[in-house]
Amino acid sequence: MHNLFKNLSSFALVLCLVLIFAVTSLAKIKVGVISSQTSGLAILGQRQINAAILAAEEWNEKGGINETKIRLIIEDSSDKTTTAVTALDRVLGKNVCAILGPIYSFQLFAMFPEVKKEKIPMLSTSGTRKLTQMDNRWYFRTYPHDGITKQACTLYAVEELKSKRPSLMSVTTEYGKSGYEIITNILKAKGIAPVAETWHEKADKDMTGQLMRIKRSDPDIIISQAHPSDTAIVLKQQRDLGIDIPHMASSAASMPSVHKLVGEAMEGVYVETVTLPNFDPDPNIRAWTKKYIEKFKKKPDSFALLYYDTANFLFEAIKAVGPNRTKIRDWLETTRYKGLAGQYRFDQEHNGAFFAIIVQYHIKDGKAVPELKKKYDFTPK
Amino acid sequence: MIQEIVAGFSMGCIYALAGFGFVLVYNAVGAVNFAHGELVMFGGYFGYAFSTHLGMPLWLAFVVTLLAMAILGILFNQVAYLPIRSRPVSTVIIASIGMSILLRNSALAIWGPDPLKLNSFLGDSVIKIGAAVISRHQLLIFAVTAFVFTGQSLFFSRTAIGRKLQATAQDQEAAKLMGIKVTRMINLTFVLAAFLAVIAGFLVAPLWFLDPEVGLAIIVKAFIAIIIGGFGSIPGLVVGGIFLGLTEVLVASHLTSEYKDVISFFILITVLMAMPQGFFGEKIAEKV
Repeated sequence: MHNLFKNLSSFALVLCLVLIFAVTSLAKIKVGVISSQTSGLAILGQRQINAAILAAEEWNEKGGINETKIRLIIEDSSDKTTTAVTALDRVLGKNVCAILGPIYSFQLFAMFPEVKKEKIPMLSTSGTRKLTQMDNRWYFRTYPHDGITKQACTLYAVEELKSKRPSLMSVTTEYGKSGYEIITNILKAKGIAPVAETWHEKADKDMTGQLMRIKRSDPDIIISQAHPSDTAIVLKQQRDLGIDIPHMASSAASMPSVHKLVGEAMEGVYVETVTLPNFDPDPNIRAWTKKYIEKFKKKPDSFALLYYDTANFLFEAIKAVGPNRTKIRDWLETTRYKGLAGQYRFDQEHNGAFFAIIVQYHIKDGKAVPELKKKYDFTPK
Repeated sequence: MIQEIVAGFSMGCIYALAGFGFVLVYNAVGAVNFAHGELVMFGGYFGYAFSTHLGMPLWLAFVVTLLAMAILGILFNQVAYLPIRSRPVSTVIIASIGMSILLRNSALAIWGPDPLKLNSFLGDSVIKIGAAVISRHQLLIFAVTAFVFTGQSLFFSRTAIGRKLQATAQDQEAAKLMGIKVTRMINLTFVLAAFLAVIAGFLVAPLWFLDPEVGLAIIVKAFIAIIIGGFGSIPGLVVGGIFLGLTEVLVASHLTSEYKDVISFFILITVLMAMPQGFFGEKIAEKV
């Protein structure tokens, strides 16, 4: 009798725990977040995760989505395709209704077959042009693609800085190759051929060879595309080698962490970017940046701000149609959203952001301060 | 061309300095320590932490980093080498790879993923010599490389402790019979390797910046320099490092930057086919 009572008690306890777990799980809207938390790629990934956490916490403080709290299922995609696909499997195993994906296109490409198979909406802030040309109706891009940002920087170099002899420095990743194609096509349409084209690996630590090749070709500007560390090395070595021509750098050069590395060599550098969360006069963006810094003790970058908008856009979709994957996709396809950074509206290919800015950095009191040079808006009419 | 040669020499010296600790441990105890790149990285990170977070002058940060890394070197030996030194070579190699992953992820957890910059002892300024621009930091790299590689030769041939280390490296049993405390010598070897990692770290970090992946990047290049020069050969390491540095820069500047690494590795294979023992060493097949 005693044993029977003991067994029943144990069974009841386990049942209670299972029920509590089931109830707490069911009572939350689960959204996957896949981004790089480890490896060198975490420089962008961690800020994006922070932005998603911030957005979810704000919704939960107000009671969640339609009175149901949001639960983020966060997984690390590190710096490999295999890790990214495993992260996707884990997130899908938790029965999420949508996913905020990583920024790196090589990981997204690897995830696409499963995303399509599982019919799960995935949103991310990657710029690589080809991502939205792969007939994947479940992927949504909420960052201006390379066709937008590279168009802005090339047009600015040619039309505003009157470049006739541009030189190109590109990283050999998908991002660099895609951007190179777009820039050279725009230059070709303008009747201009680059006087030098160089390539480097993302992990390269010395660019003297590439920069000397460029110097010998006597260009009037360098248009570079690189990731944070290599951007810093390129900019610093250009200054060290006395190559005194304008430099139009890609968006990594707008990151505060890059400014610390480049130091005085940021003076005069032009950068194509999307937003400037640390310098924007908009009171809403200023308040958001302040909140972000207070919470995470780090300055946000433009990718983080757009990821925050992306998370909110997705939460609005869930609020409107519930945690149904197909309904979320359909709602996203047809709805405009006004975020902190700008307007989002998806075109046929699921590109949602079409704005870009060109800034020039100046050193003031030892800090790199951007000056807005031109705004571009390529939103389809 | 002078500019490229200066840059190639500078990169080569960095590869040689980074590879020196690796060769030292290999020659002394026969262990292949693939975590040496991470020790170089930690040398730089400690220097950054002491100089930036604790506000120490760079020279003091350097001294304190030497002490911290000496402790890390002994710990490394006690955890990842001594307990398994009688096991097969592959076990020791796997332990060093494990330590490499542990140190890399520790760096990520402590300092985060953002690249950090350690200041140079000589600042960021440059000197113009004819058509070439040389940074003061590059001059420091040349001077330190010359000092370290000349100093090691004197240390191992002219000092009692250096000779004891050499004896331990040549035959541990015989050294023990001669009254040399072998375990202490092995500990000292790891401390010396850690000191070399600090020197390399302080020279690399102002140029390459510090991130959790920098150790892996540097040990790959240093390892190639070691193989080209001749596995275990100190003069070979210097020549191999400079050969690799020059090849990379000259190929990127005058041939192709897109296939720079492909051509550099092709040259490496060609060199090894012509000289399987590298420039100064024994046949690679006998070592691995």
